[in-house]
Parts: sequence; C-alpha cells; structure tokens
Amino acid sequence: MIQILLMVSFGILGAIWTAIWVWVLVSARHPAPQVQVEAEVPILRRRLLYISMALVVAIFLVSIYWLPYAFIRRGVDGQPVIKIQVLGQQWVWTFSQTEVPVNVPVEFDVTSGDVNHGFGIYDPEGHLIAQTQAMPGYTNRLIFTFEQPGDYIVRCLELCGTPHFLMASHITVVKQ
Amino acid sequence: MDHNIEVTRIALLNMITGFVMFLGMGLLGYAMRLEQAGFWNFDPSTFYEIMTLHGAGMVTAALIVAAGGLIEVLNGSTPLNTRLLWTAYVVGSLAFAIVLLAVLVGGVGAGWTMLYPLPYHSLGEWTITAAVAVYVGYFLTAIAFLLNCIAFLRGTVSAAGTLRKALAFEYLFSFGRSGTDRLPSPAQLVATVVSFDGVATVVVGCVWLIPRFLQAGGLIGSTDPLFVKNILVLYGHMITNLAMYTALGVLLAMLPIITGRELKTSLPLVVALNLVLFVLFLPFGHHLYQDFVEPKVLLFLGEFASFASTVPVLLVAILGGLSTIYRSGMKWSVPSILISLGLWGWAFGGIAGFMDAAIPINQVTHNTMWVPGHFHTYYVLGVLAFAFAYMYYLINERSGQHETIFSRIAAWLYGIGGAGFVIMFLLSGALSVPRRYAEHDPTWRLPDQISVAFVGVLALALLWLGGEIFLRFRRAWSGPSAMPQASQGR
Repeated sequence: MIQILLMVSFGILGAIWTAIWVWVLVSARHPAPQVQVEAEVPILRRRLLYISMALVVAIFLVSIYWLPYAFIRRGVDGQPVIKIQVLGQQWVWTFSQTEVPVNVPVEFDVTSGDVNHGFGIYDPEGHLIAQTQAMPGYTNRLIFTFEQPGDYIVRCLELCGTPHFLMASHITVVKQ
Repeated sequence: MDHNIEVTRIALLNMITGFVMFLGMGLLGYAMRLEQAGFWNFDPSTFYEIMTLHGAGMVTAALIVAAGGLIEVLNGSTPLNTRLLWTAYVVGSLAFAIVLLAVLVGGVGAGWTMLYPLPYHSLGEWTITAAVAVYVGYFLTAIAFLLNCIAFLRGTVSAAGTLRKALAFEYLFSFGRSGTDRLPSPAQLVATVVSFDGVATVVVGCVWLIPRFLQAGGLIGSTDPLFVKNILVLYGHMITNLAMYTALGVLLAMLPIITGRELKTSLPLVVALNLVLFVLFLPFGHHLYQDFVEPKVLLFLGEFASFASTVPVLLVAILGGLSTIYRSGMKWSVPSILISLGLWGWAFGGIAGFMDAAIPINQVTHNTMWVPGHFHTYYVLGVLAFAFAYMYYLINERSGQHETIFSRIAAWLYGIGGAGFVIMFLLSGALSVPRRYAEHDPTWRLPDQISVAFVGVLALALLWLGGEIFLRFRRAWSGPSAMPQASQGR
C-alpha cells in the first residue's frame, strides 16, 4: 500500500543522495583546479534542469488520478452509494451511521461544531488510509471505497485541545 | 567600507541568544520525545504547553541565529543601521518573553500555529487573555523581523545603488552580458531577496494577527476559519522558509572559507534568487490539501509550485555547494563538517518534503510524524547546521582559539544524532503515527525510543560544542575590531 511505496522510494532516493554526498566529500581529498570543476557544472546543471522539470510535470499529471477530491473520485470510483454525516466537536465524533458496506463508494460529509479537527481513517492494521479536515462552517466531502471488512478507527488529526489525542471513534465495514 | 565592531557584537548577541534558545527549546523537545516513548509520564496539558513553546521558540531561534550570521557576513561590505538592529534584538527578546509567560503562566497549549478558532475556544484550558498574549508576542516577533529586513534592505540597496542593482536585474535580463559593475555579492543578493519577501511576509502576518486582537476586544465577530487558515499557513510557510534562505546567505559565505575557492555571483544564482522572490509565496497551498473546500486552483498551484521550487534549490544551492566542495582539498574542521551536514540535511529533508507535497501521498502523511520529520531535518540539519558553522568559525577567529579533534568528533556526532533523530520521525510518519499526540500507543513507541537515544548523541555533541562556544564568547566579544578579508566570505 502507499506507505510501503513511500518508505521504499524514500529509502532509495535517500540512499542515492547520501552516496552522492559521500562521493563529493571523499573527492575533496584529490584537489583539482577550480577552473576545471567549474567547466563541468553548467553542463550538469542544464541536464538536471531538463530532467527535474520533466519529472515535476510528469509527477503532477500522474498525481491527478489519485486526487482525493470529490470531482475526481466520482469519476474514478463512481457515485457514492451511501452518504454519512460526520460532526467533529471537542472531543467526540458523531456519525449519522457507523456501519458501511465493503467495495462501494461512501461519501463522508465532514464538518465541525467548534474548532478545526482532522478526520483520519485508520484500517484494522493501523495504517492511515484517508483523511480530510473538519472545519466549522464548511463541509468537506471525502469519497472512499473500503476494500476489506473490519473495524476501522477514526482519529482526530488536527490539534483541537488537550484531549485531542483521545478523540477517536470506530467505523465497521461489513460484507454486503 | 570598514568593518564595524558594533555590528559584529550585535551579530554575536543574536547568534548566542538564538543558540541558547535552541538549547532550551531542544530540552523541551526532548521531554516531549521522552513522554511519547513512554519513558516519562506527565500531564497532557503540560505536554501541549511544552509543544507550543518548543515550536514558537525554535522558529524564533532559527531566525535569530541565522540573522546574526548574515549580519556579520554583510559587515564591512554593506552599511547596516545599528539602531535598527539593536531595536530588532530588544523587541524580539521582549516578544519571546511574552510568549514564554503566556504559555508557562497562562497555560496556552494550542500549538505554535495557534490555529483559529482553537486559541479562543479552549473550553477552560487557558484564557483568551493568555491566547492574546501569545498573539502579541508573535506580533512583536514580526516587528523585530521587519526591522532586521529594513536594515538589510537599506544596506544592500545603499551598497548597490538601487533596488534594481541590488537584485542584479540588469545582469539577469541581459543573461549576464551587462550589469557586472557593482554586482551584489551572493550574501548581499540573498539578504535583498529575504528582506523584500520578509516585508511582504510581515504584511501577511498583520492580516492574520490584527483581526485576532479586534475579535478579542469585541470589535469584530468571528472570522472565516478557511480564510484565517490560508493567511496563517502563508505567513508560517514564509517565515520558516525565510529562515532557511537567511541561512543560505551564511552558507554562501562559508563555502569559500572552508574550500579556499572563490564563489562569485553567477547568472544561475541571480536567476534562482530572483525566482525565489516570487515563487516562495506560491507553495503554501500544500498545507491545505486536506481542506477539500479550498479553491482547487490554490491546491494545484501549491502542488506544482512545491515541486517547482525545489528546482532552484537543487540546481543552485545544493549543486553549487557540492561543486564548490568537489575536489577542493577541503580539510575537515567543525565548520566544514557542519556545512557538509547541512547540505546533506537540506536535500534529505527536501526529498521528504517533495514526497509529502504530492497530494495523493499527503492523504496519508498529512498531520502524521512525517511532517515534523521533514521540517526537523531542514532545521536541525540545514538552517541550524549552517548557522552554527558560521558562529563557531567566527567565535574561534575572534577569540584566537582553535578546535581539537574532540571538537570535530562532536560535529560528526551532531550529524549522527540529528540524522537518527529525524529518520525516526519519518519512520513513525510512514507508520501512520499521528503528530501532536501527547501520548503514543505502545505499538508506536519503538521509533520514539530509538529517537531518544539519538537525541542523547545530539545532546553530547551540543554539550561539547556549546561549551567551547560559551567559554570563548567573552574573548570573541572583545576580539579584534577587523576581521581578515577572507573570513568575511567575500
């Protein structure tokens, strides 16, 4: 899942960067005239510019498919079958229903009655799988399809007062 | 232009004050990690007070210590108004004292971001008066920052002749073919860009803070929380990034010193910094990806600008730093070790930030420990590494003292301790551990416990290096009135 992809790709990129850094530091033991080094830098810079700009555009375009916003999710996952109203208040979550079927798009309409809260859904293995903010005066619509049945924890992810870390609830995902 | 001893003393005072604040706030951070690791148990309201002070204090410490470094780097080449600098120091110190009181006495535990409406909606945890006191402290911090920016801007414009020349516009728009007379030095160019953006940032800060005062005074009703959130994250994003760019000025001054190579104002540097002038304002939307009601254009702009803004940093600061060190014959010293660590940390933290800036990834990293992992890397092994390198170098030069092999070991331990500490944050984030939780579930604690060990290593390093700095400070204060030309990084 996405966290594994994150750790692996970050690990690889971090290791590559660290290797480059070490190589540069070790090279300092073998001095060369500055003029010689300076001649190579513009060429490297130009190549990195083209590569990085291409990557920036590519990653930006690819990310669109996985955007969490309703206008994308409705197109990708389909129209929500169930709508659940969620209210965050210091320091409890209130749901219009807490049982949802598996493998159907569910829309959470999330708002707050007081301060900013963070509506974070954790799967039974403890991985964060979706979130949105709960803000007073606004409703954030989160569309999500649960792929496995089980007990999911909802945690508050935006500091909302001292009991912030205790503000949690449950959603049960059942087979249809 | 002569080197001004009074400017040096203001710089030293800023640096040592920032360093002391860093140590104090670091102890608070250590307490938080001990609590989350399960090694120490204290009241959650105390945790959030500590967390609020730690965040506010660390951002301020980084700004002060980096600004102190830049002040001395510019000394001798740029006329700096000492009255403005002294006033900034006094106002900034007062600001910090007010925030300290508001948190320790008033019990404010809303986090350093003080996200509206929480500060005024604590349900009895703290009073509105205490919350307003924090805002007053923040307002005065902004004023202090503004005074420094005005001092820098007046100085660099005076040195160059005009603002256009201070930004090397003629050189920029002629692609380096003209405008080479009175070209600003790299540090002067950084100071101009930081100050110009800094003035605009303070205006944003006023838009955030003044309605808070009016609301507390009953002169206006509640304000739109989405608008306030936008203004707050824009201000916070700018101020934290401007600390980084201030430290960039110090880095560009240190690179010639540690490598013995010349670092001239080049076209890529001028292009990159002039881009930063405007681009720095655009990525703030990456703090708001989970506010689905936010206008989508701002979110997409935030994502694209977050990615794009890494390009000038990568191609100029990181590549420039590495190419200056490459085959330079650089010898290991405390400053060269810390500068090298800072370059590593800036890029490493940047990778974490780049990934977090992708909206689909942000869905599962926002408000997890990944986020503090990213910015702690930028600060501990970026801003502060660069600033401490310069401070250590300056104090040794002025006091006539020398480092030992133990000093160099301590500098490497700073890197090892810092790296381990931040990697554990990132690992926790990847494991979905939420940020800003006073207590951690026992299944989350292993990275916390490992990070405590690394903080111990960091503390040992700071004990040694800090001890040397404090013992030599007095001699540095009364040291020579003029520094050797080379040591000014010009």
